[in-house]
Amino acid sequence: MRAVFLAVVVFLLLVPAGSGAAPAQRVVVLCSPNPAWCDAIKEEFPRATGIALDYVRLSSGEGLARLRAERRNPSFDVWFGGTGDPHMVAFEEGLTEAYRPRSWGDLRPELREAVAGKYIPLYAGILGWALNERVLRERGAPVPRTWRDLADARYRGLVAYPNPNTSGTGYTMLATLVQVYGEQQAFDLLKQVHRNVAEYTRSGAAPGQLTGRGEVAVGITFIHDAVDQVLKGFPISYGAPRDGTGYEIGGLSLVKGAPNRAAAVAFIEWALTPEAQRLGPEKGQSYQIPSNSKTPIPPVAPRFEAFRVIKYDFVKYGSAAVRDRLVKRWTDEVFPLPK
Amino acid sequence: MVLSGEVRRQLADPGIVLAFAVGAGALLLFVLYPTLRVLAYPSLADYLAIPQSVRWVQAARNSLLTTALSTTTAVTVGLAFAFATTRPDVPGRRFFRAVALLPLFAPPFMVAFSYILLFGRQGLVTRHLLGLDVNLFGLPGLWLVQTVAFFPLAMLVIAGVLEGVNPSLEHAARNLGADEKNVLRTVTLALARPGIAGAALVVAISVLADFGNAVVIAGGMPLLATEAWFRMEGMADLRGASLVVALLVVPTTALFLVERYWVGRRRYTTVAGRGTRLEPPPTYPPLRWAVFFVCTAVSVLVLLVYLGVVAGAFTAVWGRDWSFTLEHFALARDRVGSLWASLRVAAGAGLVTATAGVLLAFLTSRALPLRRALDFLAVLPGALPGVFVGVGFVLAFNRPPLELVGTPWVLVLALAFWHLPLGYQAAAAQLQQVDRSIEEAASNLGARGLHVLRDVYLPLLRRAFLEGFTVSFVRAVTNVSIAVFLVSPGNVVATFAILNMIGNGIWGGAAALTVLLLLVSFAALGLARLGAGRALRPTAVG
Amino acid sequence: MAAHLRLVNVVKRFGAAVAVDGVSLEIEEGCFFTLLGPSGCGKTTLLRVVAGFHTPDAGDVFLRDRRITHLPPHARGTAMVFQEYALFPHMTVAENVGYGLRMRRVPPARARDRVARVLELVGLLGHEAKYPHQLSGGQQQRVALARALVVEPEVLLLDEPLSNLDAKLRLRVRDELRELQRRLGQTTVYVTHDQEEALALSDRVAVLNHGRVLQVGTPEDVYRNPASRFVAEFVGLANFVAAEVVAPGRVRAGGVELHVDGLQGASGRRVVLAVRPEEVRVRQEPVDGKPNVLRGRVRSATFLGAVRRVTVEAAGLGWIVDVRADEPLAPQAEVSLELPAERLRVVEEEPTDEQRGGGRS
Repeated sequence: MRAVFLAVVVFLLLVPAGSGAAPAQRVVVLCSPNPAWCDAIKEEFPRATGIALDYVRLSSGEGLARLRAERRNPSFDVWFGGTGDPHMVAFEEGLTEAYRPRSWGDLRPELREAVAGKYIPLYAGILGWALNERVLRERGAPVPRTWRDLADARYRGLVAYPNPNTSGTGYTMLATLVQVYGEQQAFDLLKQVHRNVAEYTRSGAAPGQLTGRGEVAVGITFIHDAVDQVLKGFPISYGAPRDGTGYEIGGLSLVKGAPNRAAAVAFIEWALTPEAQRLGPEKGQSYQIPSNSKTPIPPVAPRFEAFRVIKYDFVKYGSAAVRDRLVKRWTDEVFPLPK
Repeated sequence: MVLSGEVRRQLADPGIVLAFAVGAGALLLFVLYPTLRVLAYPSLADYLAIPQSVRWVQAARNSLLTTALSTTTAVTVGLAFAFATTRPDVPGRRFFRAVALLPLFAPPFMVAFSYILLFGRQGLVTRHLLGLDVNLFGLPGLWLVQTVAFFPLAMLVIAGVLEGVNPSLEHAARNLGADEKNVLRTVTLALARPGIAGAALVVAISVLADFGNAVVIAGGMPLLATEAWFRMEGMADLRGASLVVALLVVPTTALFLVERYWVGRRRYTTVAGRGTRLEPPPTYPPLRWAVFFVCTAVSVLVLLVYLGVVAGAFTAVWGRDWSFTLEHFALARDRVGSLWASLRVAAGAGLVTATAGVLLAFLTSRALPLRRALDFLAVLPGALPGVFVGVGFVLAFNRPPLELVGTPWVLVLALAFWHLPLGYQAAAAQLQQVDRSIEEAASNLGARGLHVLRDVYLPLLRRAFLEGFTVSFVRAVTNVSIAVFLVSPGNVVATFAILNMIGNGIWGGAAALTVLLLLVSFAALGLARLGAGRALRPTAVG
Repeated sequence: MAAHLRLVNVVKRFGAAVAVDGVSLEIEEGCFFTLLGPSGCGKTTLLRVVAGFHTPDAGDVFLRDRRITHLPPHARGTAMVFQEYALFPHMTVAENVGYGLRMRRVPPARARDRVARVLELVGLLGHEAKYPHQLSGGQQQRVALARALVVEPEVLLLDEPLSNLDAKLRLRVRDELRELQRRLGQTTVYVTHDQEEALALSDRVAVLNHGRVLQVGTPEDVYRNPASRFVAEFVGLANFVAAEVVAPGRVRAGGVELHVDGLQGASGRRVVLAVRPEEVRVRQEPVDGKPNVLRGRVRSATFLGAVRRVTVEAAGLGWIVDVRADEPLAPQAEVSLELPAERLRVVEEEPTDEQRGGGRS
């Protein structure tokens, strides 16, 4: 009996506990993109710099919530990836600090300007949808062309999009609709679309997967996520609404009060190098447009020229006040409606 | 306050006073404080605004609806299994008993996940075998899943009651002229009624608080248990989260109190007698076959849960490419750190639960002041949903002086004290069986206070310690509802990683990691049982 | 008198163990018949066979002329009072007692009457609405009895019903039970391991061991003329003397010659004699000229209230003798023991060579 007790205690002590028995240097990353990309940086960064890396994968909405909760004593050093709006809110609320990386000049100017220095642009991605044409055919629904089309009753139970509470993708969609149609009309439309929604997913990439599996026919997601599904062999196509679609500028932020600041800075510098950014498409199954102009754009990445992309006002829709208000409104007015 | 002589004598022993301080302190800090923090966090205006919020009202309604449905079916199935395992003339009862315990080892979301794989739109059974187009998300799916996940609880409660029924009662009834149908009606079922009521209450609490299954399969249907998490994680809306869990804790506590103080008291304990026990008489044949049929059908469903996950782990791309692959296990191997984290956390939680349970049971068995309060606090966590405890610990320990959020300890402590009632009650039950005269003999020979604990009670409480450890360990390894709130870099437990993967559509990896988690936890459990098997051999005492 | 209940060669096995090994008994109507024996002797199993809870592997049970061996318990006409009473905890006293009537579809009004009458019989009128856990042990036992009696069974079966009661209560209930049975003329089969109970209650006693009946007879019969050493030892106390036959009516034991009335047997045969403690006569002064007198010394004397139990060493053997309480016998006193020739009985004989092959049980 004592043997059991001792064995358990020894086990607990020997196997390194989370916070503590770590090598000299480490960085703790709040990682928001595709888990495969998170795995890739976990492997490559130590190889490149000798600094260990731990991450927790949380989608961008969740990441913001976590940073807010840990404000006084952050456990993360760096926020890597995820749509930009939450990064902006985080900066505004003093959760992250401005940092100008050495490669600032190499970053694409249009992205730099759009975020106005509130965070470091990491990549850009266009909002659209994944389509499962077989399911559409089976149900007798046409291929949608505009946002409004999604309100059609023929898409009953065939639509999925991310919950704006937890997913930056979902919020991007919300903000896009508001910018395309105006707030009241946007919400009216969303209420109608609600009837057709099979599921509000937690993460931004999930709608694409559901579409790929045939669980739904229209999954609103970033187009590069749909591309990922196509590359995996799923029989889907992708596109974007013709009446205007939004885009994201993925963020990279230094957490204020980071426990391992020096390592965090090293990470940021590394993450913007072409070698690091190439990990996205090569190992991370992510096909966004990388922010460093020196990094080659993956051939399959969706380009701005191919779609009708609106001029998304990142500063306005990235502000905490606007974001919280819109999300709350969606949560109170759209989500609880009966189907 | 006038203290009786007995109390004063206890308090005169510094060992006892120390134990009391530690025990009471732990309860106050890790049970009472987080609870109060959650309840006090929203303002009064927030509470009053609840009926106006469409969202809360809907979530509450949905939660109550699913509870009513799932509890009814789970208890019915549990009743069938309880019958099957306690009547010697139902074929296959050992098989049914083993199968019925399987869902208890599965992480909460596993049933939901497996059924999506098997019965969803791309389900192996529904689409590929039967060609049906079934949308499993939402109420129907949740109902099915919760029934399968929670019927074992009902079975355990009802079987416990049925086993306590002296078979002589059935024989007496037959002897007096009752045929099998009448015996069933007037004796067996009548005596099982408190068990059925108790089972319903216990299952209802679990269904109300169910987070893991709901988050996977409830689709867009708002439920109280999942709402709290969405509020926290999605909007960092601690106030909203507290409000929701406070709302949820009302029915769970009510059910808990009813079970403890009303139904629990009405158990019919039959007079235990000497003499050899007769076997129960033959069962009413139509019942026997009905029970057999139901148990077989549900057993298939339970086995499918495990088969579904195993199949998903080895299938290249579920729904499209059915070729065999080991890729997913390679992916899961990358996440092996999460398995270690799960084991560490579970081991820590198990130790704390077992120790605290034994200590508190020892304290409450003696004449000490505030004994009733200690007892109440020790069983209170049984009324609290996991999500409530999660939010509570976040609120209670995210500032100095006790800033545990972000460390592994907060998760260990939250789980340990959430499971405390199990360890405490096991120890208390065993203590009751210890004859007081053994202790009196020891103290007569000079042992005092804590020495009595060490020399007399601890050896006898080995079984209770082990039980507390085991049950806390198993539940900690599979826990989702608390882990999602308290996970931190370095202790990303496997259940969290799996849930993440499911949410991101990485089904193969999720299935593979689930399989690994199950293997590892079964192995660890087996080791613990083996190692302590020696401890369980009766020692020569008294 | 025709037998009311008849068992013919009943055998019951559990796996490899034989619990009842070819038992045949005949029980008359109105008889209080006791099955007596140590635990594990098969008496409870036998009772359960009569009740119908076990089906015998061989043999038959007859109730009057009906063969009831394979009938289910509720169709037999027997009613059992269980050792642990087996009262339904979720029913009141009245509901418990009336259960058998309900099963027999007796109309409620009649049933109420019968219940009331039998409750009066056992002295529990007024307790109808109570639940079993509200009653004392003695009261519970009476409810169990009432429940069995109210259905007016052919045979009443009692399985050690007094064993859960404390000593004083046991005596009182025992007497009431006997009184009741006589009044009703109810054929009763009673199982117990307590020989005093068996002697006090029964019309006839069957002593069992290892699944076999060793002796059947009235209590006096069994006590005064035990058929074997086991019976002599089990029912009451006895002194045993190993002796060798010298001539008809005479044996030699411990260097002394004893007269034994009615003793047959070839010279040289070894036998065991038994004599009860109260049958031995004790005198302080030496006795001359009488046969079967042994001179000895008192080893201990224990005052038991009604008698004084004295152990005496005489002729190289130890003897237990009961004398009147006021006899002033003290340790070390010299006494004469007289063993009345008509009280010495043979309880065991050396088996012949053929018999020896059979093995002891």
